[in-house]
Amino acid sequence: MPSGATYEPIATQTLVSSSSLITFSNIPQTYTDLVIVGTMFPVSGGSNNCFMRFNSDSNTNYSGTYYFADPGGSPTSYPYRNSNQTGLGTSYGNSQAGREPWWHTNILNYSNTNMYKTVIVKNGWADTWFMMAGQLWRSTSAITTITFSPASGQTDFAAGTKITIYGIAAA
Amino acid sequence: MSPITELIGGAKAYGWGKVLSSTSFESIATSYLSGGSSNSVTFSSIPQTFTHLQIRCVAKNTGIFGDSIYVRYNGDTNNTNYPRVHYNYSNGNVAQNANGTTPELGWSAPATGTYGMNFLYTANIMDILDYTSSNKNKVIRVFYGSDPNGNAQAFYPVSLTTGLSTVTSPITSITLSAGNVFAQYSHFALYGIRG
Repeated sequence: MPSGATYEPIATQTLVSSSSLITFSNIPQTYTDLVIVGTMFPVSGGSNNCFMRFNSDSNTNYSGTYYFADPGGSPTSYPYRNSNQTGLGTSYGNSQAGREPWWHTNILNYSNTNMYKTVIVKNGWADTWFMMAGQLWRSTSAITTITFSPASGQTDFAAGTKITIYGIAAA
Repeated sequence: MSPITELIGGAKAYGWGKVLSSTSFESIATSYLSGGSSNSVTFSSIPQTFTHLQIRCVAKNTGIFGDSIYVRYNGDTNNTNYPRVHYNYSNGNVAQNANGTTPELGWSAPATGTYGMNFLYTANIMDILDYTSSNKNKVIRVFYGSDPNGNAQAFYPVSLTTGLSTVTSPITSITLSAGNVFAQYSHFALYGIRG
Protein backbone atom coordinates (compact mmCIF):
# COMPACT_ATOMS: atom_id res chain seq x y z
CA MET A 1 0.00 0.00 0.00
CA PRO A 2 1.57 3.29 -1.03
CA SER A 3 1.79 6.08 1.45
CA GLY A 4 2.91 9.69 1.57
CA ALA A 5 1.70 13.20 2.18
CA THR A 6 -1.64 13.29 0.45
CA TYR A 7 -3.44 16.29 1.93
CA GLU A 8 -1.75 19.44 0.72
CA PRO A 9 -2.58 23.13 0.51
CA ILE A 10 -2.74 24.32 -3.08
CA ALA A 11 -3.38 28.01 -2.54
CA THR A 12 -4.79 30.58 -0.18
CA GLN A 13 -6.23 33.98 -0.94
CA THR A 14 -6.71 36.61 1.73
CA LEU A 15 -8.29 39.91 0.84
CA VAL A 16 -6.50 43.00 2.08
CA SER A 17 -9.25 45.18 0.63
CA SER A 18 -12.79 44.52 -0.54
CA SER A 19 -13.42 42.65 -3.77
CA SER A 20 -16.28 41.32 -5.88
CA LEU A 21 -14.33 38.39 -7.24
CA ILE A 22 -11.95 35.75 -5.92
CA THR A 23 -10.35 33.43 -8.46
CA PHE A 24 -8.31 30.26 -8.15
CA SER A 25 -6.99 29.27 -11.54
CA ASN A 26 -4.62 26.66 -12.94
CA ILE A 27 -5.78 24.15 -10.36
CA PRO A 28 -3.48 21.15 -10.69
CA GLN A 29 -5.10 17.95 -11.89
CA THR A 30 -2.87 15.72 -9.81
CA TYR A 31 -5.25 15.22 -6.88
CA THR A 32 -8.43 13.20 -6.49
CA ASP A 33 -10.50 15.57 -4.35
CA LEU A 34 -10.46 19.23 -3.43
CA VAL A 35 -11.28 20.66 -0.01
CA ILE A 36 -12.07 24.35 0.25
CA VAL A 37 -12.18 26.12 3.57
CA GLY A 38 -13.06 29.74 4.04
CA THR A 39 -14.23 32.54 6.24
CA MET A 40 -15.98 35.13 4.13
CA PHE A 41 -17.23 38.52 5.22
CA PRO A 42 -19.46 41.06 3.49
CA VAL A 43 -18.62 44.74 3.32
CA SER A 44 -21.97 45.58 4.92
CA GLY A 45 -24.18 43.63 7.27
CA GLY A 46 -27.26 41.57 6.65
CA SER A 47 -27.77 38.28 4.92
CA ASN A 48 -25.51 37.83 1.91
CA ASN A 49 -25.11 34.96 -0.51
CA CYS A 50 -22.35 34.25 -2.96
CA PHE A 51 -21.79 31.87 -5.83
CA MET A 52 -18.99 29.41 -6.40
CA ARG A 53 -18.50 28.70 -10.10
CA PHE A 54 -16.29 26.34 -12.04
CA ASN A 55 -14.32 26.98 -15.22
CA SER A 56 -15.99 30.40 -15.65
CA ASP A 57 -19.36 28.73 -16.35
CA SER A 58 -22.11 31.20 -15.41
CA ASN A 59 -24.89 29.33 -17.20
CA THR A 60 -27.75 27.60 -15.34
CA ASN A 61 -25.85 24.35 -14.77
CA TYR A 62 -25.88 24.39 -10.96
CA SER A 63 -28.31 23.13 -8.33
CA GLY A 64 -28.50 22.07 -4.69
CA THR A 65 -30.34 20.20 -1.95
CA TYR A 66 -30.08 21.81 1.49
CA TYR A 67 -30.61 21.09 5.16
CA PHE A 68 -30.81 24.10 7.46
CA ALA A 69 -30.67 24.12 11.23
CA ASP A 70 -31.63 27.31 13.00
CA PRO A 71 -32.00 27.01 16.77
CA GLY A 72 -33.87 30.29 16.89
CA GLY A 73 -36.28 29.42 14.10
CA SER A 74 -39.55 27.60 13.88
CA PRO A 75 -39.15 24.88 12.82
CA THR A 76 -35.57 24.53 13.96
CA SER A 77 -34.64 22.53 10.86
CA TYR A 78 -36.00 22.82 7.34
CA PRO A 79 -35.26 21.70 3.78
CA TYR A 80 -34.55 23.71 0.67
CA ARG A 81 -33.61 22.99 -2.92
CA ASN A 82 -32.96 24.91 -6.07
CA SER A 83 -32.46 24.09 -9.72
CA ASN A 84 -30.88 25.65 -12.78
CA GLN A 85 -28.83 28.16 -10.82
CA THR A 86 -25.94 30.19 -12.21
CA GLY A 87 -23.63 29.08 -9.40
CA LEU A 88 -23.44 27.04 -6.20
CA GLY A 89 -24.78 29.18 -3.41
CA THR A 90 -23.47 29.70 0.06
CA SER A 91 -23.87 32.35 2.71
CA TYR A 92 -21.25 34.84 3.74
CA GLY A 93 -23.57 36.22 6.33
CA ASN A 94 -23.28 39.42 8.23
CA SER A 95 -20.31 41.34 9.46
CA GLN A 96 -21.24 41.31 13.12
CA ALA A 97 -18.09 40.65 15.08
CA GLY A 98 -17.87 37.13 16.38
CA ARG A 99 -20.32 35.75 13.86
CA GLU A 100 -18.04 35.33 10.92
CA PRO A 101 -19.40 32.62 8.65
CA TRP A 102 -17.28 29.54 8.15
CA TRP A 103 -17.52 27.41 5.07
CA HIS A 104 -16.17 23.91 4.36
CA THR A 105 -16.56 22.25 0.99
CA ASN A 106 -15.51 18.98 -0.58
CA ILE A 107 -15.38 18.45 -4.34
CA LEU A 108 -14.86 14.77 -4.98
CA ASN A 109 -13.30 13.46 -8.19
CA TYR A 110 -13.01 17.01 -9.52
CA SER A 111 -10.96 15.94 -12.53
CA ASN A 112 -13.01 12.86 -13.46
CA THR A 113 -14.51 13.39 -16.93
CA ASN A 114 -16.93 10.46 -16.57
CA MET A 115 -19.21 12.21 -14.08
CA TYR A 116 -20.89 15.46 -13.14
CA LYS A 117 -19.21 17.21 -10.25
CA THR A 118 -20.84 16.71 -6.87
CA VAL A 119 -20.03 19.07 -4.01
CA ILE A 120 -20.89 18.53 -0.36
CA VAL A 121 -20.69 21.58 1.81
CA LYS A 122 -21.19 22.71 5.40
CA ASN A 123 -21.65 26.36 6.25
CA GLY A 124 -22.54 28.17 9.43
CA TRP A 125 -22.33 31.14 11.73
CA ALA A 126 -21.46 30.84 15.37
CA ASP A 127 -24.58 30.68 17.56
CA THR A 128 -26.87 31.45 14.65
CA TRP A 129 -27.38 28.69 12.11
CA PHE A 130 -25.94 25.72 10.24
CA MET A 131 -26.39 24.52 6.69
CA MET A 132 -25.28 21.41 4.84
CA ALA A 133 -25.91 20.68 1.18
CA GLY A 134 -25.34 18.39 -1.73
CA GLN A 135 -24.68 20.50 -4.79
CA LEU A 136 -24.22 19.69 -8.45
CA TRP A 137 -22.45 21.17 -11.43
CA ARG A 138 -23.84 19.50 -14.52
CA SER A 139 -20.61 19.19 -16.42
CA THR A 140 -18.19 16.35 -17.01
CA SER A 141 -15.29 18.76 -17.53
CA ALA A 142 -12.36 18.64 -15.18
CA ILE A 143 -12.36 21.62 -12.82
CA THR A 144 -9.43 23.92 -13.52
CA THR A 145 -10.74 27.25 -12.23
CA ILE A 146 -12.92 28.15 -9.24
CA THR A 147 -14.36 31.61 -8.67
CA PHE A 148 -16.35 33.18 -5.85
CA SER A 149 -18.53 36.22 -6.38
CA PRO A 150 -21.48 37.81 -4.57
CA ALA A 151 -24.93 36.98 -5.92
CA SER A 152 -26.74 39.74 -7.77
CA GLY A 153 -27.34 42.76 -5.57
CA GLN A 154 -25.18 41.50 -2.72
CA THR A 155 -22.30 43.39 -1.27
CA ASP A 156 -18.61 42.73 -1.96
CA PHE A 157 -16.37 40.47 0.06
CA ALA A 158 -14.65 42.46 2.77
CA ALA A 159 -10.98 42.62 3.69
CA GLY A 160 -10.08 39.64 5.83
CA THR A 161 -12.00 37.18 3.70
CA LYS A 162 -9.78 34.14 3.43
CA ILE A 163 -10.17 31.00 1.32
CA THR A 164 -7.80 28.03 1.10
CA ILE A 165 -7.93 25.15 -1.37
CA TYR A 166 -6.41 21.80 -0.46
CA GLY A 167 -5.78 18.79 -2.67
CA ILE A 168 -6.22 15.19 -1.54
CA ALA A 169 -4.49 12.51 -3.56
CA ALA A 170 -5.63 8.90 -3.59
CA ALA A 171 -3.31 5.94 -3.91
CA MET B 1 3.35 23.11 -5.78
CA SER B 2 3.48 26.69 -6.92
CA PRO B 3 1.30 29.13 -5.07
CA ILE B 4 -1.54 30.68 -6.99
CA THR B 5 -1.25 34.36 -6.45
CA GLU B 6 -3.38 36.83 -8.28
CA LEU B 7 -4.71 40.32 -8.26
CA ILE B 8 -8.42 39.95 -7.90
CA GLY B 9 -11.12 42.46 -8.61
CA GLY B 10 -8.77 45.36 -8.11
CA ALA B 11 -7.90 44.16 -4.63
CA LYS B 12 -4.55 42.90 -3.59
CA ALA B 13 -4.50 39.31 -2.48
CA TYR B 14 -1.78 36.91 -1.71
CA GLY B 15 -1.41 33.17 -1.55
CA TRP B 16 0.91 30.73 0.05
CA GLY B 17 1.65 27.36 -1.38
CA LYS B 18 3.63 25.72 1.34
CA VAL B 19 3.53 21.98 0.90
CA LEU B 20 2.96 20.03 4.06
CA SER B 21 5.54 17.35 4.55
CA SER B 22 3.46 15.82 7.31
CA THR B 23 2.23 12.30 6.83
CA SER B 24 -0.67 12.73 9.21
CA PHE B 25 -3.17 12.08 6.41
CA GLU B 26 -2.16 9.27 4.10
CA SER B 27 -3.69 7.40 1.26
CA ILE B 28 -3.99 3.70 2.07
CA ALA B 29 -5.82 2.20 -0.90
CA THR B 30 -8.20 3.07 -3.74
CA SER B 31 -10.77 1.12 -5.69
CA TYR B 32 -11.99 2.66 -8.94
CA LEU B 33 -14.59 0.75 -10.93
CA SER B 34 -13.24 1.91 -14.26
CA GLY B 35 -14.05 -1.32 -16.05
CA GLY B 36 -17.56 -2.08 -14.83
CA SER B 37 -19.88 -2.55 -11.89
CA SER B 38 -19.36 -4.39 -8.60
CA ASN B 39 -21.54 -5.61 -5.73
CA SER B 40 -19.10 -4.45 -3.10
CA VAL B 41 -15.67 -3.03 -2.40
CA THR B 42 -13.43 -4.36 0.36
CA PHE B 43 -10.38 -2.75 1.89
CA SER B 44 -8.43 -5.50 3.63
CA SER B 45 -5.18 -5.72 5.58
CA ILE B 46 -5.74 -2.21 6.85
CA PRO B 47 -2.58 -1.07 8.66
CA GLN B 48 -2.98 -0.54 12.39
CA THR B 49 -0.62 2.42 12.49
CA PHE B 50 -3.17 5.24 12.23
CA THR B 51 -5.61 6.68 14.74
CA HIS B 52 -8.63 7.19 12.50
CA LEU B 53 -9.76 6.19 9.03
CA GLN B 54 -11.53 8.19 6.36
CA ILE B 55 -13.28 6.83 3.27
CA ARG B 56 -14.04 9.26 0.47
CA CYS B 57 -16.20 7.91 -2.32
CA VAL B 58 -18.44 8.89 -5.19
CA ALA B 59 -21.02 6.22 -5.81
CA LYS B 60 -23.81 5.32 -8.17
CA ASN B 61 -25.83 2.11 -8.17
CA THR B 62 -27.20 0.34 -11.21
CA GLY B 63 -30.82 0.41 -10.01
CA ILE B 64 -33.71 2.78 -10.51
CA PHE B 65 -33.69 4.11 -6.94
CA GLY B 66 -31.11 5.75 -4.77
CA ASP B 67 -29.78 3.19 -2.36
CA SER B 68 -27.85 2.83 0.84
CA ILE B 69 -24.22 1.88 1.16
CA TYR B 70 -23.74 -0.73 3.89
CA VAL B 71 -20.54 -0.53 5.90
CA ARG B 72 -19.32 -3.66 7.65
CA TYR B 73 -16.13 -4.45 9.51
CA ASN B 74 -13.90 -7.52 9.56
CA GLY B 75 -16.30 -9.53 7.43
CA ASP B 76 -19.00 -9.39 10.10
CA THR B 77 -22.35 -9.23 8.27
CA ASN B 78 -24.54 -9.83 11.32
CA ASN B 79 -26.83 -6.79 11.45
CA THR B 80 -27.29 -7.16 15.20
CA ASN B 81 -23.70 -5.97 15.55
CA TYR B 82 -24.62 -2.69 13.84
CA PRO B 83 -27.58 -1.76 16.03
CA ARG B 84 -27.98 1.98 15.72
CA VAL B 85 -27.87 4.64 13.03
CA HIS B 86 -29.02 8.22 13.34
CA TYR B 87 -29.70 10.47 10.37
CA ASN B 88 -30.07 14.20 9.97
CA TYR B 89 -31.15 14.61 6.40
CA SER B 90 -32.98 16.61 3.78
CA ASN B 91 -34.23 15.66 0.35
CA GLY B 92 -35.24 19.17 -0.52
CA ASN B 93 -38.85 18.58 0.49
CA VAL B 94 -38.45 17.19 4.00
CA ALA B 95 -35.82 17.75 6.69
CA GLN B 96 -35.81 15.07 9.35
CA ASN B 97 -33.92 13.42 12.13
CA ALA B 98 -34.45 9.66 12.23
CA ASN B 99 -33.08 6.44 13.67
CA GLY B 100 -32.26 3.19 11.89
CA THR B 101 -31.22 -0.27 13.00
CA THR B 102 -29.02 -1.54 10.17
CA PRO B 103 -25.66 -0.35 8.88
CA GLU B 104 -27.16 1.75 6.08
CA LEU B 105 -24.73 4.61 6.26
CA GLY B 106 -23.80 6.04 2.89
CA TRP B 107 -25.76 6.67 -0.28
CA SER B 108 -25.49 5.92 -3.97
CA ALA B 109 -27.42 7.72 -6.69
CA PRO B 110 -29.69 5.79 -9.06
CA ALA B 111 -28.45 5.13 -12.57
CA THR B 112 -31.42 4.16 -14.66
CA GLY B 113 -35.14 4.61 -15.16
CA THR B 114 -37.27 7.62 -14.32
CA TYR B 115 -35.17 8.62 -11.33
CA GLY B 116 -31.72 8.06 -12.77
CA MET B 117 -29.56 10.83 -14.10
CA ASN B 118 -26.58 10.23 -16.31
CA PHE B 119 -23.23 11.22 -14.86
CA LEU B 120 -24.65 11.93 -11.37
CA TYR B 121 -22.88 10.28 -8.43
CA THR B 122 -23.34 10.78 -4.69
CA ALA B 123 -20.38 12.07 -2.69
CA ASN B 124 -19.70 10.34 0.65
CA ILE B 125 -17.13 11.06 3.35
CA MET B 126 -16.94 8.49 6.15
CA ASP B 127 -14.86 8.89 9.31
CA ILE B 128 -14.22 5.84 11.49
CA LEU B 129 -12.74 6.85 14.81
CA ASP B 130 -10.23 4.96 16.93
CA TYR B 131 -10.50 1.94 14.67
CA THR B 132 -7.66 0.03 16.33
CA SER B 133 -9.22 0.05 19.79
CA SER B 134 -9.95 -3.38 21.19
CA ASN B 135 -12.06 -2.22 24.11
CA LYS B 136 -14.68 0.09 22.68
CA ASN B 137 -17.50 -0.01 20.19
CA LYS B 138 -16.81 1.55 16.81
CA VAL B 139 -18.43 4.80 15.73
CA ILE B 140 -18.66 6.10 12.19
CA ARG B 141 -19.70 9.53 10.94
CA VAL B 142 -20.89 9.86 7.35
CA PHE B 143 -21.57 13.02 5.39
CA TYR B 144 -23.11 12.50 1.98
CA GLY B 145 -25.00 14.42 -0.63
CA SER B 146 -25.81 15.04 -4.25
CA ASP B 147 -28.48 16.88 -6.19
CA PRO B 148 -30.54 15.94 -9.27
CA ASN B 149 -31.48 19.47 -10.40
CA GLY B 150 -35.10 19.02 -9.36
CA ASN B 151 -35.55 15.49 -10.71
CA ALA B 152 -36.68 12.72 -8.31
CA GLN B 153 -35.40 14.62 -5.32
CA ALA B 154 -36.28 11.89 -2.82
CA PHE B 155 -33.50 9.69 -4.16
CA TYR B 156 -30.78 12.29 -3.75
CA PRO B 157 -30.68 13.31 -0.08
CA VAL B 158 -28.05 15.17 1.86
CA SER B 159 -27.34 13.70 5.30
CA LEU B 160 -25.08 13.79 8.29
CA THR B 161 -25.26 10.30 9.77
CA THR B 162 -23.80 8.54 12.80
CA GLY B 163 -23.56 4.77 13.10
CA LEU B 164 -22.69 2.47 15.98
CA SER B 165 -21.14 -0.96 15.70
CA THR B 166 -20.64 -3.29 18.65
CA VAL B 167 -17.58 -4.75 16.96
CA THR B 168 -14.90 -4.19 19.60
CA SER B 169 -11.96 -5.81 17.84
CA PRO B 170 -9.59 -3.63 15.80
CA ILE B 171 -10.85 -3.03 12.29
CA THR B 172 -8.65 -4.79 9.77
CA SER B 173 -11.04 -4.85 6.85
CA ILE B 174 -13.97 -2.74 5.69
CA THR B 175 -16.56 -3.80 3.16
CA LEU B 176 -18.81 -1.29 1.42
CA SER B 177 -21.81 -3.05 -0.07
CA ALA B 178 -24.36 -1.61 -2.42
CA GLY B 179 -28.04 -2.23 -1.78
CA ASN B 180 -28.05 -2.85 -5.52
CA VAL B 181 -24.77 -2.86 -7.47
CA PHE B 182 -22.16 -0.12 -7.64
CA ALA B 183 -22.06 1.29 -11.16
CA GLN B 184 -19.05 1.87 -13.35
CA TYR B 185 -16.84 4.80 -12.39
CA SER B 186 -17.78 4.66 -8.73
CA HIS B 187 -14.63 5.57 -6.83
CA PHE B 188 -13.62 4.59 -3.27
CA ALA B 189 -10.53 5.83 -1.47
CA LEU B 190 -9.35 4.89 2.03
CA TYR B 191 -7.13 7.19 4.06
CA GLY B 192 -5.42 6.93 7.42
CA ILE B 193 -5.24 9.82 9.88
CA ARG B 194 -2.61 9.92 12.59
CA GLY B 195 -3.35 11.24 16.04
